[in-house]
Amino acid sequence: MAFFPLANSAKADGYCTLHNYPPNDWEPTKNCAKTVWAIYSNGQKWITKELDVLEVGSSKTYFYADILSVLALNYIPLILLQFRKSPLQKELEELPGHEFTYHKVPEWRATVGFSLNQAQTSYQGEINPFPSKASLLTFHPFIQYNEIDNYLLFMNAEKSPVFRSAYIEIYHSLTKKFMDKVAVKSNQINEIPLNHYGFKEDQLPVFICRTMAGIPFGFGISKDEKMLSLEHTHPPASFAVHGNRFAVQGQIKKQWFNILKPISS
Amino acid sequence: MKNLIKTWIKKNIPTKFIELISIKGISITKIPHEASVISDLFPLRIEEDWNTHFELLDFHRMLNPNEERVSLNVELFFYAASGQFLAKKYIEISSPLKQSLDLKMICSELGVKEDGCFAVFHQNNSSWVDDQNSFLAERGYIGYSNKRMGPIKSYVHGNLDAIALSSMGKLQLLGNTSFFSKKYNLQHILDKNFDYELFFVNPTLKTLAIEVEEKFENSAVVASIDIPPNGISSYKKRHVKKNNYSQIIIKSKLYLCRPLVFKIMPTSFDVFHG
Repeated sequence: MAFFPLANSAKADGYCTLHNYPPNDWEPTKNCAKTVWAIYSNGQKWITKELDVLEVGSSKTYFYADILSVLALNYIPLILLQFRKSPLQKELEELPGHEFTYHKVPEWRATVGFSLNQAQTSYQGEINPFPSKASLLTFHPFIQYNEIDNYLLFMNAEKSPVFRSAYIEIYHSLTKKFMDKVAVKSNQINEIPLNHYGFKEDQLPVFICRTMAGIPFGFGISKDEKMLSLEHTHPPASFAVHGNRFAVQGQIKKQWFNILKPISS
Repeated sequence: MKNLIKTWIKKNIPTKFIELISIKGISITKIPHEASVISDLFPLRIEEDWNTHFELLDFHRMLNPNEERVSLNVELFFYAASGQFLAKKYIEISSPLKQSLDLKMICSELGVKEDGCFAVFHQNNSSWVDDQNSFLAERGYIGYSNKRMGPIKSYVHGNLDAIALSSMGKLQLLGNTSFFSKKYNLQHILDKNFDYELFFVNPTLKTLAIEVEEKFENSAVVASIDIPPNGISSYKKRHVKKNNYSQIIIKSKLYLCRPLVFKIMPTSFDVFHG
């Protein structure tokens, strides 16, 4: 665990609740007050700002809009929150390492969510910087119908603050038909509307990115804006447990990457 | 070689004994028997206005995209909240890669009328997965809907390899327990303005005793829940204005007793893994 993401979407407002207590009582940890820092990229450097201190056992919700206001900015593509004991310089060339021993069963997580009117949706999340030489393959089986706006959210953070570009390619998994390619950037949450592709209920879209990894989410907003739904889509490793499941993942990715070919536009 | 030794130890020595030597050796679930397939135990909500939908995928063609469709069945097992086996349904993998299953409809056909849990077992036709000593696992996408709250479903994935089905048709619960009680601190604060229901399944062979402590600023309430093997139970929190935000601490002998959380808001709901 290293960072807790705080992101926004075009319609819904982002929030992130940090918890200064461990998820279990049997992995070793040092309970202490922790300073919360906000870190974001301006495309050249990571910019840091100390927010406040969370006492042992306490939780606090940070709203995207409030952090913008603290930083006197109009927009930040992604804010990363981090617990620290030592201060950070105002500008950094790389994301800082973490300073605490965190639990693994499960990972020490925050409540990462969005709200719109009276509706909220969240998941238990954290983000570790992805290597710059990595890729993505994911299937999205839960696009919704009947008055729902669907989005794929693609969240990436890398050590370097540069906003690196890549493309997410979208295909029909059954026919392997190429549908589109959409530009995405690193160190951002990228929001891709899906309704206009017209995927039907029995169709399974597959998304690949050959030069960037990230966390993909299926995000649904009811058109009356009364309800939200958010869940991440699985990486291929989730099809298998035990053994060398990452070799299984590698094999699945290799096959799909070879089959799926974009039509150059 | 090192991995082989680790796997042998995990398969042959109960985790609770390994824990006495080092917590690094703790494994929250067992490795199933050879040639098994694995499923989560997914909470089933079909009572009142609730429905549960399951997005069934053709694992074979997702794992082997160069191959044609082969005739494969998926087995759905339904259990009562008491853990009692109720019914089984075979579903043939269809021509599309995905089928959305309306479980209220399927349960109605099967005579299952109450909330409980279910498991989904695929057939493993990909020997290269076995070659990696891995097991096919259904970790879901379940969509919960409530007709009082509009058309949108709240989707959540499975996150526990709870139960396995061997090629001989034998079921095996995979949850490991400790000699000692463990606490899991839900990494989510309950909002005083909303109702919550926390669902727990029992993936072990013995009745699971759980204590759910809801901690307020200056007080706490504790509820005790016993869940039979394969069973499911819930802790309900109703919004009470006088109470403030609360924290949930779950005590049991499971290494990771993580609930599925339903958060009920005035016009909507949200489901997520705690």
